[in-house]
Amino acid sequence: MKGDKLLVGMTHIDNNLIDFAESYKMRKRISYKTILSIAASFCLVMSIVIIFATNFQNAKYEYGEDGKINISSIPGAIQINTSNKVFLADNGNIYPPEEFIDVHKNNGSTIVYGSVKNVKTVSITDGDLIWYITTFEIDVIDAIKKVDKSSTVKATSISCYEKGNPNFIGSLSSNIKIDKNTTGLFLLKNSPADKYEINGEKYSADQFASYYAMSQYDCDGKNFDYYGTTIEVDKLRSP
Amino acid sequence: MLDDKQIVNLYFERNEEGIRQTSLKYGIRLRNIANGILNNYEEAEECENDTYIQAWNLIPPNDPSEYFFPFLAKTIRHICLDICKKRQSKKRYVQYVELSKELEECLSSPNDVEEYIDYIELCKVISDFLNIQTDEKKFIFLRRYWFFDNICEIAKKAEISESKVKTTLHRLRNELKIYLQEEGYVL
Repeated sequence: MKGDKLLVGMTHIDNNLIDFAESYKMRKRISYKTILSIAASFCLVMSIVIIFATNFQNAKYEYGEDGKINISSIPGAIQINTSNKVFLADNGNIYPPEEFIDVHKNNGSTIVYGSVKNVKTVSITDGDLIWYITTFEIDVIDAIKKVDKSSTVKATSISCYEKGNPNFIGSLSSNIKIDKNTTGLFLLKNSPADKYEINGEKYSADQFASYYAMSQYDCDGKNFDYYGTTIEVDKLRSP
Repeated sequence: MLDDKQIVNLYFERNEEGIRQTSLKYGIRLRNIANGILNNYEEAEECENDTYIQAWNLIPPNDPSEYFFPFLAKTIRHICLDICKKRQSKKRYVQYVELSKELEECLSSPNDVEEYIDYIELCKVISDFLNIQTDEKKFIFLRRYWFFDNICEIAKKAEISESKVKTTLHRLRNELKIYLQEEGYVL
């Protein structure tokens, strides 16, 4: 038998082999092309999404190094001078001193004695409402309770006034009197994630700072003034 | 476009539309096979037409609706190789001669006198041999010895180098020789 007979004799090989040889190239090409095109499409879509999201966010707000919104970049926000303004929006309970100590010694609040810097307050008018959003940093002199070893903490407070009167909304109560370079005792809590609608946009305190400022008291480092009663700072330290 | 079952039914009904539908669906692929073997487009077209006539004569009684394209492909290959054999002396079919020589490597005694061979059985053994190969090897062997592709075309289709195609073919021929011997084919 010569090679040509083997060549001719091969004509009747399995049908599946003929189909295979005809489609293998196509399958291989489809396989490569499919994988490449899927990968390319995915990268393209992701790039577009990232670019769009970045541009969209950047177009809407500026963000600080801590990833929080720079309140000056909020649409409609007007920066105001904080040195002469007191934003009193407290709806919290005024406890008897001993009870105050007991509550804050055992709850989840954060207490620091420190100096305020980089205070920034904006007002946003929304119909009859005027929102005041403040952010500031506290250079920690004494970490009294539940503060990590950070030397600086950033906090925010949000107040809302309706026709000149405090309008207490949700958990945003605060009683903060901040002047530049004010040193005092600050009661802080983790910023709530509850959303509040301002001019059609929803914001939460944790978008502006990690801590929410609840109260500030005059303090000399050892004692603080609690509505006329002098209390030792050490009484607030966690056991 | 009709499916294979519908086309084959037209042959059974002796409806010549079956040939037209076959040409529409498989004409290009069949011409490519013929052109690959004959390297002549006009002759390839003639072979294509002969294939349709052959199919017309074979259906019925045969019913290749489950393997219609392989049926047509085998038919056109057979027709093309008949032409090659008849015209070998004209030395126009270099590819046919070249491939025949290559396949002689698979044979223990290629110059033996004529002997009876059951080609159907031999094809089954070759199919078994190919079915245990990797897809790439199988593809290379089939494109070379069934479709008559040249080395360059196979390399492009398989997206590998020409030297790899040559090496793979050489090894496969040696392996096929051993496989045939083990299966009792001392050819």
